[in-house]
Amino acid sequence: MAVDSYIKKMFGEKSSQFADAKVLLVGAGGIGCELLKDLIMMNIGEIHVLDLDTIDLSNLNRQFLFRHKDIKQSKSKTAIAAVEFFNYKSKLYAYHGSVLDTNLFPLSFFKQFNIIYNALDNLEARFYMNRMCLYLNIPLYESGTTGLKGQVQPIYPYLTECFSCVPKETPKTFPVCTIRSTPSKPVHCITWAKDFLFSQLFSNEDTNTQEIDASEFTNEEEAEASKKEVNELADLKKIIANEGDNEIVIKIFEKIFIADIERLLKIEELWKSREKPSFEQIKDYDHFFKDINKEYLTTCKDQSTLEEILKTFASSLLRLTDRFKNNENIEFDKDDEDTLFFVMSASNIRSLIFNIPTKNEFDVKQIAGNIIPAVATTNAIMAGFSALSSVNYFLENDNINRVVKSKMVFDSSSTDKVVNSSKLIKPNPSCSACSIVKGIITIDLSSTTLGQLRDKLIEKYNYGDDVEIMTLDSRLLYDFDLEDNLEEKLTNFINDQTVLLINDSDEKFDLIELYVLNSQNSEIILPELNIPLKKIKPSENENDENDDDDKLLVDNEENNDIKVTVSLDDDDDLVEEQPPMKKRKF
Amino acid sequence: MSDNSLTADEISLYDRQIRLWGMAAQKSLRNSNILVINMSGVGVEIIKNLTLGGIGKLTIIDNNKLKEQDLNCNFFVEKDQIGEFKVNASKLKIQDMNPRVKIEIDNRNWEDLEIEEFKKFQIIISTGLNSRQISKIDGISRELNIPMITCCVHGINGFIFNDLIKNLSWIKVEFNENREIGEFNLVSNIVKIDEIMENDNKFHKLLIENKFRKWDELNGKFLNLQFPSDKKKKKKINILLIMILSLLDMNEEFYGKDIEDVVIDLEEFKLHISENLNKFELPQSLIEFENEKFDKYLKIFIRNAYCEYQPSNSIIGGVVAQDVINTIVQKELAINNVSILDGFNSEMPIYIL
Repeated sequence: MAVDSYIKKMFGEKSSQFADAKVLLVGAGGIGCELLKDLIMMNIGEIHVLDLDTIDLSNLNRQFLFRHKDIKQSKSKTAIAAVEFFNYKSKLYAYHGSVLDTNLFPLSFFKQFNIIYNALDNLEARFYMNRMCLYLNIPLYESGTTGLKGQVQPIYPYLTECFSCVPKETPKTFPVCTIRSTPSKPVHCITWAKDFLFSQLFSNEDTNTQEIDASEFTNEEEAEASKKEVNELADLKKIIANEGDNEIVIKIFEKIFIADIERLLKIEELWKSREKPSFEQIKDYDHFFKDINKEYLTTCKDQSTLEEILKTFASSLLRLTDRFKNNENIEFDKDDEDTLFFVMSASNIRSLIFNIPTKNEFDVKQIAGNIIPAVATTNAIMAGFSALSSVNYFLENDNINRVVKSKMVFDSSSTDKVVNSSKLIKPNPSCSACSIVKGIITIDLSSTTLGQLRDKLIEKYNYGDDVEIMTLDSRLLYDFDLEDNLEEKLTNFINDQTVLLINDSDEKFDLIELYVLNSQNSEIILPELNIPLKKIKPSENENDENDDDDKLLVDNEENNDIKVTVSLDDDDDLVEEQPPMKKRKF
Repeated sequence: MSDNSLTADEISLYDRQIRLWGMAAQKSLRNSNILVINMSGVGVEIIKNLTLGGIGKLTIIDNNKLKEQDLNCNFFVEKDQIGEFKVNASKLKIQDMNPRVKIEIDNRNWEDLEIEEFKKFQIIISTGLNSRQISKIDGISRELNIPMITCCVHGINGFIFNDLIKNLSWIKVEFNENREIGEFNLVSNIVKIDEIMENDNKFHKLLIENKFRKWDELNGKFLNLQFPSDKKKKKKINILLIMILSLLDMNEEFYGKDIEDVVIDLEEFKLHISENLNKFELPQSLIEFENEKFDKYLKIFIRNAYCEYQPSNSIIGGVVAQDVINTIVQKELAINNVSILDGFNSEMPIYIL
């Protein structure tokens, strides 16, 4: 009997496939802790764990490798230290940093791994890892959970659907006019307090640069009113900088909760089919502002009385003002009490005016902080399926067989199964990420000319005549009109980590994307690529040799009834996860 | 003490799960008293999940001593503890995960306990039992009216059987104006319908009464109602179900043995397969002994039998712990009444036996 007796019995001589492997685990949070434990007990040879986060109290209900004493420590490093006593076979490495940081983790870093396991809590990093795995042609085991829901998706680049093949649901946003003029739900008031009021008052960004887009409002008067609000808020920022405590509270309160509302009331069109805002519930406000101070009431989290709401508003405003005057860069953070209490109380005052139910601290924190429920069990289940599904990688010899045996798994609410399992689906032919074949080119940029690169490309990939070379941001470096460039060294055009697009001038082969790795004194090393023919009709883009596999793979169109919603998160804030362009502008 | 509300510390610690099941549910968890029989690899996972979740009291009973092979499926122990009772060796690290949970250990053989000793528990969980033992613990559970869950892992495969006797749970479903009190499925009824609004959408909250069957009374009645034709049965009934049930019917007890000494007598095993096909009124043709493909499958299945494999432990342990939590807080539907983990296909079908 030995430590690995079970594994030896199950897999026989194939056990060594696990021992010889080198894997990367991206994320040491909810799923990450579970997966790390599973991978160690599968006796994987080398496991590298990467995470940028530190440990919080609210992680401890599920991230079982962390203890109270570890709060504020690095997740990846603490996790590696915590598993050491039950690790007998794996070499472990921890990295504290963002996976997006190309200085810490250049593409060459990812190249060393056989499999990459994603245990991430945000879309941006998921899309990024998806692209990296496409460049490197490394299988990616993607997973995520939200509360009792979750999913696991094995991604075999160019053979199966990648993370970008199916559009992901982005967090719900609200029309600007609902937030600014006509709220009807607590979440509207909270969004207003956090994204508009708080950031206008305390953010260091120059408020004048925030423009109002009139087209986002239903009528011009309303847009005009909003513009005025913004300009006057800039004035209030000056009050914060210069006035005494009592003046600050009264002036700001009367501006945002009296004057601005009165201005909205004048726009009659807004209230034809809506209940008008009213000051009835807050009319005694000056009574509560008589003796204000910076200490919070002990019951301030309840927000059940006007006194609790107004005094929390006054105290949080004054405390933030002090911090602002000390040149602190204040940003909304659900775990920063002053910012949370300010947003909570300001949104509740607005709710009272618009006759909307008020919310206590627990609820406001969830909405303003985009907190997603998370439990140990779902993380254990999905990490287990990610690990179990990847067993196919080790037992099978090639990706085609691995794809056939692997399943995508997601939660089920049906009474006849615990999880839904489906065969892996072929890539979406119009996917923005994987419809273009990708690879890495290693090259010495300082000694190689554009002409040498062109010749090598034509030779390697058997282009019939000539190619066009562009960068990913559409800069044309070479086509037959730009012959002069051929003599120039590549350093004049591109850098390490530039992405090149190569187009066949004959229009026979499809575009390819090459990620440049600059390496001094290196020959030009081009990747082995299976370049498909130019897509004319979707049916003509298959490789002939794949015909047999078509029967085993399920076609995209046939699976439209399976709707896949991705659980984003097992962790905390969603805020930074939206791609920048999705962020709503006020 | 037990009626006190959650403290601020508890609310912060359990924040992410309170947002899922609410304060009242977290309080019920804190007042719960759970028994885990046998600290197999899947037992370790169940213990981890329940301890993190903040149940009140957890008792673990196992009279086996720690072996080297356990080191690959128990992350509460270290190598130099080999030879100690498993539960004694594990206690410190279990407690360390969550000091709020009261952990009790017992290194007697659970079969030697007096029936009174089971009375204090709210749910009895067991792992690694064979058919005879499941029948025994289910008998105790029925006699004392305490819900029981049993499960096991066999390499990449796994098995769960729930006898929660009769329980009530709330579920949230899409609004449907034609919905009525009465039958929900073959083994549960809707006893109450509430309407709720969430983000401007109407939902139904249903109180479901679930009825479970005793281990000794499992039969093919429901399978035949659901899948009347042989064709349907072949398509819908995963033969792994019969394989695992037959493995549990083997006379020899394997839990706790050196895995090298676990030898499955193929003749006896095949006999149990035939018996089980009869018992559940399934066509003998469901399993084709002479088929080469089946033969290969059988060999892999046998190699996996009684191996404690971590990914399967993690899945089965997660599902069982969530069923325990759901039962305590009366939310969601627990497995009614058998589920298998098919590691060949990453599937987990549920069967009504």
